[in-house]
Amino acid sequence: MFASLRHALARREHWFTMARVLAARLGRAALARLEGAAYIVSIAFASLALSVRRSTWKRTVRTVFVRQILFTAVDGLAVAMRIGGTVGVLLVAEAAGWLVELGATAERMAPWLMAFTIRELGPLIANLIVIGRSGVAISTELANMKLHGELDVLESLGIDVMSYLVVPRVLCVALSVLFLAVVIVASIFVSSYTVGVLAGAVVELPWEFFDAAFVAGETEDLVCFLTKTIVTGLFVGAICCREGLRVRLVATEVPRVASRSGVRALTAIFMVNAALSLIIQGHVIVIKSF
Amino acid sequence: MTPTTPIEHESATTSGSPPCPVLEFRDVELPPLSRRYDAMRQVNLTLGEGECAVVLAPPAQEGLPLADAALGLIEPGAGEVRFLGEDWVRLGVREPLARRALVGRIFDRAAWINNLNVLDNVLLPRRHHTTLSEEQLLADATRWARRFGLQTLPAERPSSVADDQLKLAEWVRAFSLEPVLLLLEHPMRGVARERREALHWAVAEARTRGAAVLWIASDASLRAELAGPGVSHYTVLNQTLVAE
Repeated sequence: MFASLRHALARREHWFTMARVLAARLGRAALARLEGAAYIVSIAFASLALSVRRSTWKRTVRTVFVRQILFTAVDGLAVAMRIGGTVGVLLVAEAAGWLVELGATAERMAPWLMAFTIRELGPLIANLIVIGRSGVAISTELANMKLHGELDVLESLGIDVMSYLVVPRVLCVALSVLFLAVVIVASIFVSSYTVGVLAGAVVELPWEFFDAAFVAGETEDLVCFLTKTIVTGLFVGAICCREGLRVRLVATEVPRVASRSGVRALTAIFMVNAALSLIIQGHVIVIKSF
Repeated sequence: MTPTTPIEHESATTSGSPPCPVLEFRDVELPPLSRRYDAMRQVNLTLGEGECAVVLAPPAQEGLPLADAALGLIEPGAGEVRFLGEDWVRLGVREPLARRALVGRIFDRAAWINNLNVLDNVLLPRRHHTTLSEEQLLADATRWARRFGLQTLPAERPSSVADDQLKLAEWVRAFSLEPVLLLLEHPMRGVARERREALHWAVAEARTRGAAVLWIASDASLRAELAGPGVSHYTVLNQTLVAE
């Protein structure tokens, strides 16, 4: 009897040990994730803090910033217009059907488009374009710079890597996301209206359509749009810079860094978007929960 | 004690008080930080204004961590490295950057930002640290380039430029800064021997202006070429810096 009791106690002890080991591993993994998130937030905030210092904006930094803006925002303009235009066509085709099914008239299309594109679609597509076109390129460039000892060269010349490489890129990504989101929203509206008119789903005149959209817009939409572009842009920039600068001294790691930064930035924009939606549109969640 | 700024350093030297050395290694132990560098022990070296130290490295140990340590990029395991009277490890976050702007360096390894062309690379530190006009910067760089035998500074990326041209462009970058400290790591490597005289003249001129020079090489003929008052010679034996 004692033997079986001892055996049962030993088994229980074994399971406790296993559970402790598992909890410790999970805890370590969670702490590592939290540490990574804190690091990214600190890069974003440090970039913002440095950007308001006049001493940061030396001419070399301004040059890097302008080049990055050209690459990320200006060169991304055509892609943003193409994708925005295509999404506008898709939206008007779906919206016309759904609005009738929900008992609304097609005149509700402009306000619906306004809310949907400004709050969610515009910022999301802009972030996706920036990650695909520039975010991965930033990580790869920084990783290669580190591997080739260029960061040491900058340090030797008394040039701060954070001010020279990170700040202009993080800010540029945030501003580019904002700019491209505006372009995307405009493209969506123009193509939706054009296709809507051609398909007979929209009967309003252009100024009536756009007026209906802007009248329906609320301050909350604008807040949502600005935060979902600028805040997520800061996160995307910070993540891509961090991943690039984290590369260890192996050249084969560069492609992995590029893919990892893309995936992490994508994950981050959905998480940050969801968090911002909860914060800004919290009352929507409350209403739904009833 | 507040960090000594370059301006304070200059005023101290002109007001009659004893000038602090430009660069000082005191009982420094440098750990082996990477594959590139071995450890170094018992590094004691002092360089005042206008002085020059020639360190002869054995060919098997050409990569010395001295220049990185002199710039505060490597934290010593023991001892202290002082630049203009201040220990690097005691400086804040921004101060080391301002001080490194006073140092001209010729690297023993890749020394270029690959997404900038060579001209932009050469002008980078002065563009960053000064407010001199572009015309002035270009004129200065061109003057130094011609002195070293380059007609113009290449407008191509470093990967498209020949090694000897790159090394000469490195000379231009280092000397056009008018630094208080020159760190020359194998400056003649890959350069035709007839250019040596131009480099010696530039070093002599910098020393006359008050710059200290740390010249690392593996060519023993430097012993004879660089001699005279204010010049000290060292060799590296068993990872230890030994004064000759």
